Amino acid sequence: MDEEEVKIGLEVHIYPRTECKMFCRCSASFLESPPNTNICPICAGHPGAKPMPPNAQAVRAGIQLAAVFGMKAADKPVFTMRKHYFYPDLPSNYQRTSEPLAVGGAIGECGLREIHFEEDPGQYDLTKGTVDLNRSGVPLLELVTEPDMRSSREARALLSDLLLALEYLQLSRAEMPFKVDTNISIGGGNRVEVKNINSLSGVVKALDFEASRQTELCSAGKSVEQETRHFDAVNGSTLPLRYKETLEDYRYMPDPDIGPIRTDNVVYEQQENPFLILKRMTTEGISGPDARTIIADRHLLDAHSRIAAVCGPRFSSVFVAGDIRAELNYRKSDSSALDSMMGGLLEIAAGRSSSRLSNLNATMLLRTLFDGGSIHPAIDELSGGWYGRETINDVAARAISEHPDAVEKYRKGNMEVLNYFVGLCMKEMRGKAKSADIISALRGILDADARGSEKGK
Amino acid sequence: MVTVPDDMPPDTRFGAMLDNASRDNLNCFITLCSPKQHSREGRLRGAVFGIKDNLAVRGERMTCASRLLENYIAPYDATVVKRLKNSGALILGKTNMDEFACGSSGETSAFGPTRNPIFPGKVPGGSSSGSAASVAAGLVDAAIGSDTGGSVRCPAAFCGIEAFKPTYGRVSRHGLADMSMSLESPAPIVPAGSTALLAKIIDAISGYDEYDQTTYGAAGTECLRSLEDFSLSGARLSVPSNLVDLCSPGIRESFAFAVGKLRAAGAGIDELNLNSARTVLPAYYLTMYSEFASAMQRYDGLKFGYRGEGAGVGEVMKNSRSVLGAEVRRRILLGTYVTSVEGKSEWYEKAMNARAAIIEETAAVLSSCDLMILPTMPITPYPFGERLSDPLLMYATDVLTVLPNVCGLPAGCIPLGGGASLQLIGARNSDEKVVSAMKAFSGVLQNG
Amino acid sequence: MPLVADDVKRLARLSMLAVEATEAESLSSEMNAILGFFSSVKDYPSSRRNAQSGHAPREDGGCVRDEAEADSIVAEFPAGESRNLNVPRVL
Repeated sequence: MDEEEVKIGLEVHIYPRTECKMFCRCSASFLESPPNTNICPICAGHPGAKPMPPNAQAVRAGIQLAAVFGMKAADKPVFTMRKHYFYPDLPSNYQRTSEPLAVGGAIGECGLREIHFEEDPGQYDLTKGTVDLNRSGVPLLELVTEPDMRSSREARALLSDLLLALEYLQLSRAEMPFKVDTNISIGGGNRVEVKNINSLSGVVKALDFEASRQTELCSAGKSVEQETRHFDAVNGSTLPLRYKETLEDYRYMPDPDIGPIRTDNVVYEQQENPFLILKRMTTEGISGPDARTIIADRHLLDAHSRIAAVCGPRFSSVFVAGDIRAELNYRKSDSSALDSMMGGLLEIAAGRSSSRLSNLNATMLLRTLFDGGSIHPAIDELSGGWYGRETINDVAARAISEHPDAVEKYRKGNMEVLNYFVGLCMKEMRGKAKSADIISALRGILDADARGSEKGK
Repeated sequence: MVTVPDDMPPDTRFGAMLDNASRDNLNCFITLCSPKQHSREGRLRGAVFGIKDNLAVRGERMTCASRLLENYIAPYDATVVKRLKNSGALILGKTNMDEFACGSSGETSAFGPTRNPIFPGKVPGGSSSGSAASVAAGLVDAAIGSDTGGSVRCPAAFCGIEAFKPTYGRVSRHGLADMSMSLESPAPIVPAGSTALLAKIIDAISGYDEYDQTTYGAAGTECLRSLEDFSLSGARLSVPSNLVDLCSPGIRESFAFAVGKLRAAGAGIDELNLNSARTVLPAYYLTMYSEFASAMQRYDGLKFGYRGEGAGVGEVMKNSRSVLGAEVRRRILLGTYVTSVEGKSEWYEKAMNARAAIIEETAAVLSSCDLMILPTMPITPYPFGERLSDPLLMYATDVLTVLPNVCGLPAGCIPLGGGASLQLIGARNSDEKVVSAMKAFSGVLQNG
Repeated sequence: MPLVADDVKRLARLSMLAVEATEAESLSSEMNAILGFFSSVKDYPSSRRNAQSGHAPREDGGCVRDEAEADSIVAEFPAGESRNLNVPRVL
């Protein structure tokens, strides 16, 4: 299938991390409360209740996110519009949605159209026939891309990048970062929208299904209908909506109760662009996945920068994204626990990276640290007392002299014998020697002897 | 007209007035409020109020004179109500009005029309009909209405009393069921000659409210302190004669008589032509329709209010909204059209342009005078039913009152007798001057 | 462009109002008359609308919660039990 002909765009609805709702001071943590408890006259749309000014945390989140992707901020104050339609989960039967906070920019190769804020409607359970207004008025940011993507793979990559930025900047709600609508057309045909997909894998499945469905239609000489479909997560397919969505006139109107918002004086702590960090880390030899894991978590990133200063970036990345994260995952701990363990982590990392600690010992010490125990005096014992060259040579020589039959096998070409000797020496030195050093000592003696015995002939 | 003496203890007096009101045959009240109210200390201690039934009083019915909200209980207090209570006021009842404020006569309430206590058989004016009638009848000390295009000044004029619409954004609209968000304001109504009380009320309810961001930066008024400041001698008053010309002969005569007295008291009168006069009514109505249609979207019977029958949600919403009166429905349809894809550039955009021009011209006029004066209504109170069947006839009566709403300006009115009334319009934020002028004018223009 | 009955029906659908066929006809005449009365606004020259200066978005120092108020809102639900709002089905 000719990739040039595929056009995919996304509309991502992001839940910014805010305390309160968009236009009132009810809590935005809508998942925690029993139905219809987290409400007030404003978000319940009662007569006379007026919206408060837009939530600054939400506006700030939108502006920060826009900056990461090179979007151009609005150059005049931004109005909030009313978008009118009737639906049970929309208390006032209009949704408040703003003009763009920023336009343009790109994520990877895909252009961005705009980003704006809006309010979420309540939750309408179609099967039970109930509406819960706890979610009504919760802030959303909507990021709209250009239809520049050519495959589901590209869509997935874009969403991964978006998620990375959101996690790094700590802008989105942990429990539900975003929901996605996607649109796809094939070979210049009609555009089909698939709405309300809650996962990256869902987006990929929906797009793959649609692409093949549309291709089949085209091959059969039929045309693709312009429509909105819904994603069936269970079957990984898309289905037409049960009711026909007639072309609605939303009668957009600037909300007379809400003054335009200045975005030029919204202050936030400037942070390094996460994709510059990513580029730097991969240049340092860190793997892409490890770099992303670290960047996405501020505590991991802090730990990495401190450990890298001592042990170098490549070692640190594996240690942090591998060993440390494994411990956190095993214990289902929050990475904020790392802050109090930093000293111990540095010691273990330093020991491991300089080979004073074996892999086994480092892991054990790490476990002790996470268990809340002290790594002293164990770490000193385990990393101290490494044998020097002279002792290694003596031990190697002794092992060789005590096992002449093994030496005979080595002379006849059996290289495996070396490992046997390394094992003997390691044991005698209680692991306090690098196997590389032992090998070179053994070889030195064995090969010198060989030359000697040859000379002797 | 039975008034209760002022020297009774506030709570006792309140009880007596409630009792009085229960026997009211003017149909001023849709609901009489709880007798269990205690007057707090404050500048309005013991003052008994009627509150228009589109303003929320917590725990009391709020119907907007519509079947759609017949049994709706407000879950919160409007800011103006909260501030009144904090100043010691007592709320006697929720006053009758035109349904969802759609009217200028008081005839379209789903709970029956209100009668005019001063001119029997004639309309009391609207949409704050019950507020004005109850004040004029002495059933309450004062009332709060809402003024979108003249809805307190019109009934005040027709009932021979005083009212004042403040500068837009100076009094919080939080708790006022929306008719037209960029045009309206809660507004007080008081008996004739009670400008001091009017000043106290405005001072108590005005000022920034975090729950209405259109009040951002608004200072509370100081009308009581400035009450005697206005001096007629040397005052410059502008008269838009092309608007006066639209009035009935009777109105023009009484207005001319009043102007003569003001001149005699030392005021300078400048007559002018307001160029934007012919677009004021269209700019007002088109803006109001647009905002009203949007404001009315929420009434669908699903979350509160009357819920109609039906198989599916669409049918239920339609049937719930079918109890709305004809004028309300007509305005919703007009507003929907004017903001639709087809109608927007032709009507909505043009109305906004016209509004901007009107604001500019009026500001220019007011920058070179103290006040603009003109009649409040172009006609005297008319019989019931005379204008009800023709919306255009009804709309035409608003021609003089809509200007301050379109421009966001403070405007007050005082009675001239015989159903005529004088309107005073000031520049933005000159509320103190307008109220003070009302006092000064009243002194000179003793009602005939 | 004067409104016809079909226009009124479409407007009624958009605004969720029930309008009978006969009513649509009379409403279209009424609305045309009213709009005609206001048509002077169309002749008005375009004027530069003042750019509004914006203000800052809202910083919150924590959330506000009024349980009694929320309870009153729930009490107004036309149908439902244990804080649920029941609504008719979307057909």
